[in-house]
Amino acid sequence: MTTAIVRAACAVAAVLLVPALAPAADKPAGAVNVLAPDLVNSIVTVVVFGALLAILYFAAWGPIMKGLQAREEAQFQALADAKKAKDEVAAVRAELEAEKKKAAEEARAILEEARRDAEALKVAEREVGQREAQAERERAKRDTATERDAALKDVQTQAVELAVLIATKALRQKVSIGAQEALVNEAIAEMKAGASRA
Amino acid sequence: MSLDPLSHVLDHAWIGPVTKHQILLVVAAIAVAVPYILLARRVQDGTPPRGRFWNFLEMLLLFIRDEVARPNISAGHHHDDHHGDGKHHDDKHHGDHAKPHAATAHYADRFVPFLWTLFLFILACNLLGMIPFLGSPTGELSVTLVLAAFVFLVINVSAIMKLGPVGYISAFIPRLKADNFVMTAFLTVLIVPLIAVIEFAGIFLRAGVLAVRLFANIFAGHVALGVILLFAVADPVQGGLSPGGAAAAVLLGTGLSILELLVAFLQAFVFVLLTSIFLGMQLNPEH
Repeated sequence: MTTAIVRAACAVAAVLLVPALAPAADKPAGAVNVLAPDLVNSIVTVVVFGALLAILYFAAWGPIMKGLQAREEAQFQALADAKKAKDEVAAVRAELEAEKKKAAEEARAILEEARRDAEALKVAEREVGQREAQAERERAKRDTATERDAALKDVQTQAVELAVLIATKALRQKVSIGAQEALVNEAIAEMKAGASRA
Repeated sequence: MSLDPLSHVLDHAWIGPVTKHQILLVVAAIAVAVPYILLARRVQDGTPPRGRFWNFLEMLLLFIRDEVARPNISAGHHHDDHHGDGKHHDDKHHGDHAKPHAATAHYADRFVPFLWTLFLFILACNLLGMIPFLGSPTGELSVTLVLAAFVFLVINVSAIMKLGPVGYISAFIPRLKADNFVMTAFLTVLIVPLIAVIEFAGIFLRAGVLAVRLFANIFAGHVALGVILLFAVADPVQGGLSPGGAAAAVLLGTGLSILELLVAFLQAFVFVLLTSIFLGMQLNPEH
């Protein structure tokens, strides 16, 4: 404030001196000197401009500069907020990307595990199948053996029956030793033939 | 109508002893003060102005602040800045000098109210001359000398306050160096005083140039306009008629009036621009 008053006082003093220092124009009657200083107009200019500066300084420029400052602060604040929001969005986006990547990795791991399980299951099933097939083959062999034994038994039974029949026949006839031997050989041959057919 | 082309340019009594330019100076001041006081009430809380007229008024202020004052006036490298944020903002050396980097006060802002008043007052005085039967107070040397004296005081008082009396005076003395004694003695004895005198005279010359440039442009423009318009009535006065000459004079006068409208803005701008440049030079001497 003091500075402004000192400046104003210096300005008034200097401006009052400037026209006074200029030499008075010595002109003939009727001639016009456009450079001739007019002290009254200079004083009026000092007063008017000084008053205008003072009035506007307090009534206009102060409030306007304050308003401009407030507006610019609001604009810079809005810019800062926008930048902050942009950074936050970028951070959230990065976080989402990371989570997405993590989920993809987890999905890939789950698929891999499922594939491994499926492979293990396949191997296990194949082993089970092989075992069952082996068991089936064993069972078939056993059945075959059983049936063969049954067939042999049947053959033996038939052989016995045949022997009984032969014996029966022999009892009805007088059997010589030679005939008996022929009968036995015949029976044995029939038994072998029956066994080979079975 | 007077046949003297100077009659409408020179000052003369209007209302009693009060002259035309004295009245127009007051009119110009009122024409500047009233709208800007009203604008201040609208924008002081930080809300932007609404409407073309108020935006135009504010645009003039922002133009002077951002394109004239801030690029040309800075705190300089060797002194503390006063930006409030502790950072150096010598915008002349950082490219985008016209735009504020933060909502803090620029060093040049302390001179902005003076530059705003100066620009608007000169502009209003210039534009009053475009209204028929009025005139431009800035077409009178007594007025422009006062305005230049204000600029002189602001520049030099600010420089003394910033640099101190010793720094202010030493700014006029160049520091010239030579690699031998003879040349050093020659520079010190002859060249340095000569340059110091020229530098010291320069502060007065700059103010004088401001006054004479504004006065001469406005005065010459209005005299030329008056001379051309007198062509339109010269022949009838002499007893003859020249419709072609009158039409040409009117056309030329219209074109020159448009040019004068441009000159009114241009000279106000140049005055404030040179003031800012001189302020920057005096506040930040090269040596």
